[in-house]
Amino acid sequence: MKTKTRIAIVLLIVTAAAVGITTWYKLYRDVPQPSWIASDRRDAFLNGWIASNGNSGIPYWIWLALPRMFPEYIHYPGGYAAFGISWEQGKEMPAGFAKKTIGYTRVSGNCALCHAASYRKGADDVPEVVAAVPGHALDIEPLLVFFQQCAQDERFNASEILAEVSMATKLSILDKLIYRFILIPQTRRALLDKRALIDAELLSHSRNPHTDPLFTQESMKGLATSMKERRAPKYPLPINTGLAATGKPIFDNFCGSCHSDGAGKRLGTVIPIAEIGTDKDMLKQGGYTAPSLDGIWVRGPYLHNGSVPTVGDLLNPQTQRPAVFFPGNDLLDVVKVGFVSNVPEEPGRRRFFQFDTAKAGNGNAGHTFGTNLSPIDKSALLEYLKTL
Amino acid sequence: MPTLGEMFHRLLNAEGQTRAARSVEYFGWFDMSLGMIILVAPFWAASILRIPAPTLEGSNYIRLVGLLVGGLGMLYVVSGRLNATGFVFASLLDRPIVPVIMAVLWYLKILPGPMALAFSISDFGGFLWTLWAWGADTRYRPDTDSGFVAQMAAGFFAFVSGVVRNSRTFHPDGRVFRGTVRSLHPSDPGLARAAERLVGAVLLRIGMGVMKRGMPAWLADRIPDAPSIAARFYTSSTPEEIRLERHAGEDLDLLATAGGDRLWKLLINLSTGGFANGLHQFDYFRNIYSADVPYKIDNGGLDVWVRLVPDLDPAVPTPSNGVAREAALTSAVARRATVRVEAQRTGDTNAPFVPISEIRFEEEIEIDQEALHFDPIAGRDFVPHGFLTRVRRAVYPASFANRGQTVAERARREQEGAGSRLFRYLNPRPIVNDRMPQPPEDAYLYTQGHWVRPVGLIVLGIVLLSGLYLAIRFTRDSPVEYADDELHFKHGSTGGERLTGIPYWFWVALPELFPELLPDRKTGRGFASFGMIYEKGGDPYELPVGVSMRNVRGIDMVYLNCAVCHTGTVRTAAGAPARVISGMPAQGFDLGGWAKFLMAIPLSEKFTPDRMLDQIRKMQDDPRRVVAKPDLINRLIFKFYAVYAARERLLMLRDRLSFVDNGTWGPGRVDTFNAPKALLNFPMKEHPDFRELIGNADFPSIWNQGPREGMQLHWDGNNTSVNERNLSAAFGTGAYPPTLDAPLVLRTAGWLLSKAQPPPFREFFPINESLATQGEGLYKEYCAVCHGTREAPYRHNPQLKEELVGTVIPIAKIGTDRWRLDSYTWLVAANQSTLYAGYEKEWGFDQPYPQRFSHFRKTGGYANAPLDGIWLRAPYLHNGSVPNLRELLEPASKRTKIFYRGNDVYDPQNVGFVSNIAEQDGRMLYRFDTAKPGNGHDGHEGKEYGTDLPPADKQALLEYLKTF
Repeated sequence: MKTKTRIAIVLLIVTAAAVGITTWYKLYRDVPQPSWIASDRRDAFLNGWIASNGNSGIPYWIWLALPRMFPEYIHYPGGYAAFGISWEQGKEMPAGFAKKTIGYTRVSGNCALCHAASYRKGADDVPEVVAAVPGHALDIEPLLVFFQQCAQDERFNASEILAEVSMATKLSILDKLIYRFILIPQTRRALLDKRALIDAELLSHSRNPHTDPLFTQESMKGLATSMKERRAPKYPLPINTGLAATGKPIFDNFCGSCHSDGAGKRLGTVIPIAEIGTDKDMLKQGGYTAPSLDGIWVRGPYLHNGSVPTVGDLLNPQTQRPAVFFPGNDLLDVVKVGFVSNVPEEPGRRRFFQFDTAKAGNGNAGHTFGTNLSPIDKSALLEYLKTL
Repeated sequence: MPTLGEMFHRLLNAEGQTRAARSVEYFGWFDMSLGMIILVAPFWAASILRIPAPTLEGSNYIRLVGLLVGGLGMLYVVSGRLNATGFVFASLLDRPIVPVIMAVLWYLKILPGPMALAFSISDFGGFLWTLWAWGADTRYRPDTDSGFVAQMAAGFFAFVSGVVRNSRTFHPDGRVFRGTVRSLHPSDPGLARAAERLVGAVLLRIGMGVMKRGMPAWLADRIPDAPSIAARFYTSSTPEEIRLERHAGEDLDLLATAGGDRLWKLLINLSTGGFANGLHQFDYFRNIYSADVPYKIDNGGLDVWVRLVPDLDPAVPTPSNGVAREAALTSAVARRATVRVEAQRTGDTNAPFVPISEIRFEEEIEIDQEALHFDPIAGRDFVPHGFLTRVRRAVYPASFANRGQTVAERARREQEGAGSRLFRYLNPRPIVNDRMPQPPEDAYLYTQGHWVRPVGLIVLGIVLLSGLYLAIRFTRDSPVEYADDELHFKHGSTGGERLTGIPYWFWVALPELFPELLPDRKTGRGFASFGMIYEKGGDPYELPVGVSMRNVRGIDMVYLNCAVCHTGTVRTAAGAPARVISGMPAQGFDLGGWAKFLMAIPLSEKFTPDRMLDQIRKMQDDPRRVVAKPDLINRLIFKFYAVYAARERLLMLRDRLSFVDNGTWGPGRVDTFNAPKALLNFPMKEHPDFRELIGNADFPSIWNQGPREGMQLHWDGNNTSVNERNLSAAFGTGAYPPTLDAPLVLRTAGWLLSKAQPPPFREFFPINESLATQGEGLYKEYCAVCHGTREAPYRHNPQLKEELVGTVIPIAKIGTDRWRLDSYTWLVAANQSTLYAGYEKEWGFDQPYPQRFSHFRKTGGYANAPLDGIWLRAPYLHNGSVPNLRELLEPASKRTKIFYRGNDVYDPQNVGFVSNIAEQDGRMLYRFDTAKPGNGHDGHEGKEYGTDLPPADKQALLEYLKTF
């Protein structure tokens, strides 16, 4: 073979190899998350990467730039925190967002987006983040709509986004090119479809959590094991142990037959709708399952449709339960067990959703067990419930 | 009419293509690939060409466009390969119209600029190429292989030989010898046949490659040089015949050069000093001369590399300089030395060189060497091939045609000088000399110094050089450097100029152009009326303390650095000289007022390029200026870009910061943590919590940062890392993660660790030492628990039961104004942990600095700070609401409700700056009203805070505090 041909072939192979390696490095190389995530169960839950494929997520720098570019779609200060997402001070990512490098760094939602929350003991306190609890404060629809609005805005283009990113970091020329020609257009299309942040498995899980085989995925196995061992968080304020002790027999008498474990108890079984009497809109099984009440203090609002803000309200007949309230606040209601729900807006922080129990599916009737107890008994019961 | 099969054959083989047709074919390939890309990736193509993002339907029509473009390209390719002259002519008619149409469509805003430009350039460029090729086709013979490079090279060498050197470009001077050739009968039959063909006479021209006769010998001996042998093999009819003109086919001209068996090896060798590849500069006989092109011999049966190897007589001593070298050659010829011709098969670098013939020197001859020219092309069944041969075919005749044809002519042109030679080169006359060589039998391009090529080369050279200059200029990023650490603190750059820099000439022009926006409305003082410190006396050209300079992209830019808020002045009395103290709070600097000035500029109709340039022109020749006046490029940038860019940026800042009222700060204060909300672009105006909108705080001192590591820093103690606190503050100087100049900032940070110290009070005023000693006991009893010891590390050793220095006191306990505390929210703290993200690892390695922020925490009170240099840190409390220490030792009800900030005259009795007068030395001071929100002076009072002490004790305590 002539030397020139040989040289040409060698150059071609070298160039192809260089292009191939660069492509793999920038788009496909899987970098494990930092060790502090994997080593701590709580951090793994809050910020661990669970998406199964390499296409998931929004490129990190776009995710970072969007709240800074489009605050007019968030309306309140705080970036992503304004959607009710919990964020521990000093942590780079809010709870529910995982940052991972597969080729390029990207951010995707994880379990904690819907299953982590925060609480405040006092109005001036900094919120404390708790894992594996109902994400009562998260307003998921406005978050997804935010991404859609950003993608529909004509300012969602490479020049504007890269200009904002250039205030936060210095991207290499290759990275800028990749963002400009691949990632930004791709992300725009994905966000218009609401597809980007929550990939298909999580989405189907959210639609059908009971039958969907989410936990059979390889990446979820470790999580599944740790979930089985996890215990509920402890109530953070002092408990009157004497009062709680008198509340225990009341609980055993009035609540235990459905909410306690043991022979003859109906914990985990379906209670017929005629007996429980709660809202019928989501009814599929002829009734609702009686859950265990561990960590009930952080699981407000209550009933399957979150129509009763506090346990104290649940112990009142339906006419005395609030007809309209404002869930999403993370300030603990220290008297009634649950979260403060009568504040429509915290200025500079958030406007809370107006929950109207008259709307379809929001009914707060039913579960009238214990509504006839005396006030003293009710407060003892509430104190006991704080210990669960 | 040819059959389709014949047409396909012609399409595939593309023989006899004219240059014009070839240009049309290549243009067609270009269009086809373009069309392919548009067809496959319409969204991407749209974004490249700046077409608005199409809908899905729209993108399908863009695909159609791609199809059309590709189809057009295919037409071009096919017609070009089929050498269709009519089509080529048609393409000359339609392509030049494109730029005109594009310009019109762009002007009417129908097409975006980049798209119009791209198509104009490609189509018009293609048109020019085809036009040039058509011209070349009519003037010159069709060339089969001679390519663009060969023609460019021919023009270049014609220029060098004809104008610059007035001789052959290489081997300008040589010696000519006659010799005879006999075969060495190699065993390989092919080589033997080739060797037979070489038998006969030979003319040898031997000389050095670079040196010219007439160079001084010492210079010639030092330049790396390589000798060469040019050999003309011919069959002479008589023994004495000298073959000046090559007989086509019969004669073979072989050129061989020493110093490397390929041309590129020779070039590298010479450029690195000429020590490699066995090159002997002073001995012709120790070198091996390689013909750098391969030859097909034996009717094309063999492909060989040829070289000439002189027989070295070991008895002859090695010459050591040029003169000796020539002498050695003379004596070698006298004794009839020989040179072997050797051949090596191509394709195998380990194949042996087989000697095939031997040349014997007969005698040196004197001939007109300028009339002797070599055509290194085929002859005697030796056919050179390859890229270098193609280039030589064009270059050699071109070089010959442009130089003097005889020795006499060369000498005459030497007298003429380079100027007339250049003129002759640019205006070639028709050739009348019958001694000019005719185009040889195999066609090659014969140029006569056509002017387009060298002019094109010169223009290309100018463009490349200008491009290089501009590239260097516009990538420049050099800060002004200072050897002294304190000077570096006062004027060193943090990197802020890279993003938010103000051109120096704007900086000096703005106060002159907008005096009505200055507090004292006076020109000629720069920004001194805002309290900036001009150490040299206050001419507007000087850069005050706290302003740094850096040359960014060829423009000298200035911006603020740490010292602007953390360097102040103090005077012992009115009229006394001010002493500048680094690290002290800039108690006289009105940052809010200065920011207001800047943000009012873009609203003024005077802020236009013309007014600014006028003002700069008035000022640019002043001898007090610090940098040179703007050069042409900078003036153009100022006129057409800088003012508009500055206006946009200032308007953006003005908008983002509009929720902050910087008129309430006053000198020596800033709203620290509402600015990051603007950086993070929180929507503070939509649904604000009004309690967080005022966060005014005093500038702190920054001495002794080393012992403060781990303490809760900032007035509300929200960060325990000195490094992080430094970087966070650096945002205020324009140093963002991408623009931070880490080494320079680290240098300042290092200086602040321990070298930056407050000056002792004693240097300015006397202290009653015995009273101070009394005060020490009181201090230990009342203050030390929270404020630590007088000296670093401020923590007691052994530790006190309760060691509270550097920790946060809950607001309920300290009772001071809570506006600053409330301005910093946990939302800010959480979001700050995204700053400097992405810097953890660089190329897989941990980067120690800077690191992502992770130490910001929302606290519930104010931090107890050490009291180093406390006398200079007036006014007191986090919001500077208590003018002096004496008042701080009084309960709030007794503290002054209204006083004046910004004075630097010191009041040693009350331990603070003079604050009860509204004006000092003609300068208006700031009226501070403690009733306004954020200015409250309550708190830090009660028994524990010493406000109940008897006056004598208070005096002693004050005296002790002066010793800090």
